[in-house]
Amino acid sequence: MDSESLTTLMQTVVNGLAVGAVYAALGMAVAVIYRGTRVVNFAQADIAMVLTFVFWFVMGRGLPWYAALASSLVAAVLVGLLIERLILRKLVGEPLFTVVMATIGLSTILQGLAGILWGHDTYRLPEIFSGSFKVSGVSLLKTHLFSIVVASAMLAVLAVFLSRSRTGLAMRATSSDQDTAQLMGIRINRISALIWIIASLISVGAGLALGYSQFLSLAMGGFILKIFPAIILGGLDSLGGVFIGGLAIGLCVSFAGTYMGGLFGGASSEMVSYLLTFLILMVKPYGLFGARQIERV
Amino acid sequence: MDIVPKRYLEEHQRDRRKMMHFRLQQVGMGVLLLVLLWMPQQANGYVLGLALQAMIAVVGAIGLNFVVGFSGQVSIGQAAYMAIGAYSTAVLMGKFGLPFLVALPLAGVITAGASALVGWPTLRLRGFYLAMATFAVHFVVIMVISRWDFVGAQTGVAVDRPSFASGDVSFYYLTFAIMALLVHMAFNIEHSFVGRAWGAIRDRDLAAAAAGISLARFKLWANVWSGFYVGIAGGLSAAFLSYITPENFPFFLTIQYLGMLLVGGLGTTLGGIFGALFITLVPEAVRFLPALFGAGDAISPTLLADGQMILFGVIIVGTLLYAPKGLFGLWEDIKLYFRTWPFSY
Amino acid sequence: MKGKMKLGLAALGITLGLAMQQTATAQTPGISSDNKVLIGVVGPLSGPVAYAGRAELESMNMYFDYVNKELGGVNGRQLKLVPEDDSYDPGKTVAAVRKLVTVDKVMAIAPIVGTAPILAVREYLNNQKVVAFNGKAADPFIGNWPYLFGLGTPYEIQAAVGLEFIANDLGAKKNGDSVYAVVPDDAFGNATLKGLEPAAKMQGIKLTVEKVPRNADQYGSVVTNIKRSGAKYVISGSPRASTAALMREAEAQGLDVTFMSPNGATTEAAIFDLAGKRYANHYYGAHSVSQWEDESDPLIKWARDRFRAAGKTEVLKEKNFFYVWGLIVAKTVVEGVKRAGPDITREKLADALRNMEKYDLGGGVAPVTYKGQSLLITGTTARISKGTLADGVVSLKPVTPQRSAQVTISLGK
Repeated sequence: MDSESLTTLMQTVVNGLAVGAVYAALGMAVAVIYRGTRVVNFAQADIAMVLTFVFWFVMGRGLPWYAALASSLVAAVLVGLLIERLILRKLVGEPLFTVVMATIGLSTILQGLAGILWGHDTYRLPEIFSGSFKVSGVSLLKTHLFSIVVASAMLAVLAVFLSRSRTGLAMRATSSDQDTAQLMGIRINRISALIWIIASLISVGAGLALGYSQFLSLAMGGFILKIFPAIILGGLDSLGGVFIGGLAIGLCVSFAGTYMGGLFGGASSEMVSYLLTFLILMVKPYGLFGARQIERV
Repeated sequence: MDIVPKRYLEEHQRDRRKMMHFRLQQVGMGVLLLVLLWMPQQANGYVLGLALQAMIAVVGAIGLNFVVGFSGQVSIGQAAYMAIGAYSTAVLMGKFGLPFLVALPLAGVITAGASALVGWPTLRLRGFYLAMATFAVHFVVIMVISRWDFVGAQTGVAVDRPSFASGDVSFYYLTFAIMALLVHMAFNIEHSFVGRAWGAIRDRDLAAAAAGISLARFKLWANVWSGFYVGIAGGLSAAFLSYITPENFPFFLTIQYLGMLLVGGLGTTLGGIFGALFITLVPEAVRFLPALFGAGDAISPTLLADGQMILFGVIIVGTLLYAPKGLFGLWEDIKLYFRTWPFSY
Repeated sequence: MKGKMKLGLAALGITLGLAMQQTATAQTPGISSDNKVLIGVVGPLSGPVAYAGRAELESMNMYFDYVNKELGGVNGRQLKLVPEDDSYDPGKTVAAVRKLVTVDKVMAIAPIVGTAPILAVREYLNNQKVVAFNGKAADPFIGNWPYLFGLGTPYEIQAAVGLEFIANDLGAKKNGDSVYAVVPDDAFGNATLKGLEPAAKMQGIKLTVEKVPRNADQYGSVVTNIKRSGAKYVISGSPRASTAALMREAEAQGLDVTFMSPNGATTEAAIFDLAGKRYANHYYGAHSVSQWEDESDPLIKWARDRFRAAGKTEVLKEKNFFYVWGLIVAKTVVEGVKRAGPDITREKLADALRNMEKYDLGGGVAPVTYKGQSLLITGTTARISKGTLADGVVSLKPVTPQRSAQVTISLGK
């Protein structure tokens, strides 16, 4: 392979990882909630959007970035707690379809509220890092590197938390068998709230990654639909799986865009990820890493 | 894992063989029919348009209900199937010169076939994964029609209304007749063996299989009926709009239909009807609210639009929290109240 | 139980009440009960293209206020705007248009924004014989639509003029440079291609086309493709945010090209607020209507002065083409109302507009002629503006006069 093709290949890989990191970040937030409560939160991207708007708003007031970040994190805790308390708590025991529709309804509410509070325009997040790195012909926007770093860091922190800390252990216990966990003295209600709060905190990272790699607007909420292939690929209840799934889909989209451009007459990159999802579901109905649940037709 | 609430349906399916028991109900239905048939003579274009949209939604919602409410499978491909129905109608009339009354049921059959085609390989999927598979279908279908020049690609296709029903009023009557026929069929299916089999599959599919119901066959059958209804809804909406493009079938359309089922009450035809009416008409009512409060021009249309979004979400969440059986459940409660009066509480 | 029942009955009541809703007052279509001429507006006031609808509404409100307060209305009557939102969703457009026509009984609808929305309602409007304005893809006008008026040159022609500029004025033809077009995968993008492809063929310029989804996640692969093709010029037919994202990615990968926006809806200095200033001096835009920041245009200057006087400085800072669009539509409609005379009806307004010949708005757009046109679109010319970075501010300066496209584009299908 000549040097130019090699550069193109490397560039495609780098592009793919950058996009994939954003998918992975948001996907992990969704996976956390699913693992703990079996709920697929359709409003996760909208939550990320709202939290990013908070960040943007605070920075717009001239405050330094750590103040803005702190505000977002605090808002994340509040939002997660509120949603869990007001809506999810009341829907305990309801069938899955009901709860998912509730999150869809929540998504619409958040969209409307954000429209009223912050308007329908597109905004650019304030420049904290600008410019790009260039290594032997392959370039990477600094903001893309940010996405990759944030996603990886969150995965690492989560993994450690879940496996080492007592609370993490309690969460894992709850998600595998709620009744026994209760019998062992674990406060389920607290765990449930904690799960949502953690997911919201992750959403701050995801929202910033997304906002920096693209722009901030109401359209961010629609991002939830784009990460589904990643989640499916990785299997909903495996955090590591979703992370890998996100990167994989990102690479897929990037490669399809560069090398398969003419195949479907454009916009092939996204179609490929959905086709791939469909095919994988035929073979492995629970994703590549998902837990196999014994059910047959 | 169960998808759909099942408490009230067990009673419903067992004893309601006839549609109407009491004389009061029959009289009430007669009055309603008279009103609906007389209305278009008096109504203006706006109301007619809304009524047509509502009727189309009813057909589509009932169709979706076959799959989601009755047999408990998740489907978020609604918009795609409506698109298939709409485009089939348009092409059959435009390119093959078939009359509307032939093209429409044919479009229904085509959509039924498509639905079965998707239903078959996905029989093994459950819950979220099934939803994702149907979502992939949505995406692929929209992509295909956006590119396929035969169906006009991005430019879309013009659709003519049937020559004998081209005016708004006559089209209303035609749609009403079609809808009434389909609703009647749906009621019958609901209370037939097929309907009960679907209920069994939804509630405890292992037990149903053990009782000798072939899960695969009935699930596919649900897909077929659903496709037929939704395809016809798509065809009707194509004739209503008189021009269709891929833009007419966004994902939000699917969400609206799911919302209709939820608000109306899953698993019953009547619930589907209530939900379709509610979701179609109530957000439109919001347009008139400022005028009602005398605020008139004070409320900016942007605010109004955001408000409509919030209202939609609140309706969904509110229904789930406070009226989980949906409007149908409320309807049953109302009837119960009156029936047991003066002992009701 | 009772609470829920009340809720249920209320819901039923609303539904039935709406079904029974009849018009409040009987009136001549177009004139309100307090003798105002009603003009409807349907546009995206929410959703991703809300900036378009809101800007045009702002301009129209300003102009109507001016006409009402300082000119005493038209032929003795005040004008009233009746806006409705459709979120760029054709289903909602249908409801909004029907409401305006049958409930509010407006005289005309000026404008309805977007191609997909107008396609959903043009038949209805035609049957109801109500004037509507739309712009500027040519498709909706093809056929017999005597009540549908466009303003400004069709996108197809603008794109062609843009490509010809690259070929001839920028020397691409002479140097053998190739052009890469990135267009959104929808009707809007297709209209652009309908102009670019024939023009490129005629000029002998190599044109590579890539269609991108409307809200693409990443432009990394697009930029990689551009690099591979070796193109020197990139035409980005996507709206503001997408073009900005493309530029940012291009900057990251060190792409050294000149960008162009192929029509008035995408030519905006606002792009650089999002994209950064890297390509500001290497940017051209084709447009038929003047830019909002262009105070050398007398009509624009007049409008901006009025906003200034009203203290609406945010409007002045925005670089949004739709302010101009609203202004010219408003002015054209008002002129039509004036020419229709004091006993105006919907039909008289339509006639007055159809007979319009070389009506000079005093700026903004080339003089409007509808008389004798087979398609009621005015405008066959476009001009090119160049991006200029001065004192950290990017602005657009016209570098050519209005010119026609050399290639003939068949606007029929």
